[in-house]
Amino acid sequence: MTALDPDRSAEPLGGVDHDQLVSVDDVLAGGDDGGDDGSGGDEHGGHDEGLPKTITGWLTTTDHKALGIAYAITSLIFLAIGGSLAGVIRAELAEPGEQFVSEQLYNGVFTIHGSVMVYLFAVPFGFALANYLVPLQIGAPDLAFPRLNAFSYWLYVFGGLIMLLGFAADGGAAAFGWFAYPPLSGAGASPGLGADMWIVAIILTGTSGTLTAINVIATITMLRAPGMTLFRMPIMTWNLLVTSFMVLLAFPVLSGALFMLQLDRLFGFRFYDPTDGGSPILWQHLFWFFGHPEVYIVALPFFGVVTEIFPVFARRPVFGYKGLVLATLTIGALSTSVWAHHMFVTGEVLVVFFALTSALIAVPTGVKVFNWIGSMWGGSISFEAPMKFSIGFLVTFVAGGVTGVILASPTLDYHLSDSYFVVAHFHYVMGGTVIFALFAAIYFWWPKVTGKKLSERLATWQFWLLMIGFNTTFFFMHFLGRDGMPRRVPDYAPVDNFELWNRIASFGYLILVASVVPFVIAIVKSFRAPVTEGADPWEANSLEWATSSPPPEHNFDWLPPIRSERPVFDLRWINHDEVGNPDVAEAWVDREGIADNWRPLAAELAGDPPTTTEGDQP
Amino acid sequence: MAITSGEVIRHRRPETSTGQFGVIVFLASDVMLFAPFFAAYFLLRSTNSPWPPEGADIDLPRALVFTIVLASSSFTLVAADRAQARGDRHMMRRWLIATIGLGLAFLVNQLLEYTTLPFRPDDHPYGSIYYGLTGLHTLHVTSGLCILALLYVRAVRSRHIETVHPWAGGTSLFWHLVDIIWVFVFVTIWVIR
Repeated sequence: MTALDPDRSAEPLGGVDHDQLVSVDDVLAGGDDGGDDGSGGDEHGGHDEGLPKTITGWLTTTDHKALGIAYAITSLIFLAIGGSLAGVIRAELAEPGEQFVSEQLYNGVFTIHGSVMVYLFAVPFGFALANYLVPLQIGAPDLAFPRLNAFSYWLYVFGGLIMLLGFAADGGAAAFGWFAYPPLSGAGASPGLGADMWIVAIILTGTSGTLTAINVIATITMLRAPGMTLFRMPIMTWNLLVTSFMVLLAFPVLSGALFMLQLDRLFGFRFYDPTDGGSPILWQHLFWFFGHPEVYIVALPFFGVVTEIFPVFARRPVFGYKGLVLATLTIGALSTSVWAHHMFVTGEVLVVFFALTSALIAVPTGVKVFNWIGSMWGGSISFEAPMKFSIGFLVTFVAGGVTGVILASPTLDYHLSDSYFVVAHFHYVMGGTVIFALFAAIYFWWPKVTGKKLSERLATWQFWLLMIGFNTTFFFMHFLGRDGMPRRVPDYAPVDNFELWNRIASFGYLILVASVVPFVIAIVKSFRAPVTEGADPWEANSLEWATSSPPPEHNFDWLPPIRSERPVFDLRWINHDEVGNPDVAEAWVDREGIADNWRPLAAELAGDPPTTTEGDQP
Repeated sequence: MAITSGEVIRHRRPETSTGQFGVIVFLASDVMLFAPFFAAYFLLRSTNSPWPPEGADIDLPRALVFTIVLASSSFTLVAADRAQARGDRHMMRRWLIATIGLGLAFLVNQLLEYTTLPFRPDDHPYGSIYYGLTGLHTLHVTSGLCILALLYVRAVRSRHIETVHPWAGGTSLFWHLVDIIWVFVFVTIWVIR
């Protein structure tokens, strides 16, 4: 509709002289000259980044960018903690027999590993993206409720600390798995304080998530810049919007279910206790009504990440914008009606219905996969770090999706349920895809956050180590599960090559750890490097690239006109006949009536050099 | 939050419409907090018989009376809102007092009822979900009364009654939701049983 394809003519870059392209840096540098010196980076880097300078400043900040960075760092710390706990699991399983940890500690380790990864790493990293990117992508100065945002962040931090402190509690940390089925999670089977701390921690982080979702929804609904219609929002923002609605739907249900569990444990209520009329199946329903949307709450922000990245590095508009939006909405809707496929083996659910909806949800997901491929198809692809990791995401995600369809079939699920096949499946869809897309996001937005690029060479090392390490660790678990190795056991019999597959998986874990090294080196090197990048280092499309890197306080001194879902692309190509069409520009200025703020356009229309007057009444 | 450099970024004033919109979204999440309790009621009802268990008698006429009390507090609050919109601070305060009075009556009855019920929450699943569902609602009534009291204080202290408008809007949305949810609680526990 509004997007114009640069490949419209046969030659690259539309056959237009490259000199005609407008650089965002020149526009931001103001109207002092013709934009000959390309030193926009120096002028804007480092000085006015609007981030807190002191520790007190960081502790009390309500700025969405500072909190976004805080969310990202905190969730990466939790990733490291969860990853270390995975190391304990892999060490214990490397050989048959019990070597390193007791059974009770092993149960605590895999419980906290799962809980940290799901509640404290994957979801909050999505909120990090939402915090940092949503206001920038829709042209807003901050989230709608900045103080609420800071409150959510601290709630999350305290929740996380309480969960981890469970290891220090009498009786150890919670040891009933991340989905805490009663009666195992009841007062009788798990009397320790660690279990109560786990419940409180999840309620706190869940509340934090709900409040953030409210903030994101209010921001996207109320604070979009003039011209930023819903169908001009970047797919990333769309996905975060749908994610927030799913959080709103799912997290309070989990909180309610946890309240009931805690009442059972503390005051002898009988919600879940099967000995006296209570129903453990009730917990499973409530938990998975949260738990399955949760999977998409984790995944959708990262789907958004790669949807931002593929078009930029393929030099094409995103393929099927509205199809992607509809697919996201469909996933959001369907995800609330598939939960009982986690409960096929209970024999208490309507198997046919849930098998059907579970298979159905593969359709919008498939639509997305083909949209991503379509975005690259016929493009002029280059393989910078974000693109590498995005393609890694795509490969991993399709692999995990295929095993998902297998598990959606009840016949096969009866055999594979609670086996290592399931472990392999959800580590592909919730582990691998998240990790790949997460690093894609870090490499992609690092120049925006810091004004510096990360090393491409180290990124290549990291990518291949991660790719090999991840698949070595998790691929052979499919065989383990098919042959019948149950999950959550510290010990196993050396039959059917169990010890071989387990040893390979444990070896793969070492490669995964090694893949962190180039990343850490790249980060350290980047901190020492000077600011070199301008506003738009990747020649990207969405609005966050129209402000300096790092962005100033309140994000924008100036916004380009928003006439399509690619405002920065339009700005770069504004001299091109079809993109910078004076009629369109004139109509836009007429309607919005703030010509002074659109320097390139105003100059274009008036035939004058751009003015630098500011502060006029709009 | 001040926006410098020529007010380029224009958006709606956050303290009015954005705040109220945020409250509405929050209330949606609040509905979802009640959802698992309703789900638990009906699931436990389907797996336990007799339901309610013998001896677990509850007082339908009494609940009906106080349902009417709570529902009428919604109407007094609407009257307070209208007075506030007219700029009639006197009437607004009166209607607010009436609302708080009705809410308090409901709350006191609820607490009294807990002391006289012939069953305890740890007796059987019916007792658990009875206390769970009504207890969660009682918590909401309590916090709703606190917010209403806060609104009353603001209305007394404010120089211009218009300045409490966004607070009044958010507060009444919350109170109306608490009332509506009570109707569902009443129908579930006392009518459907």
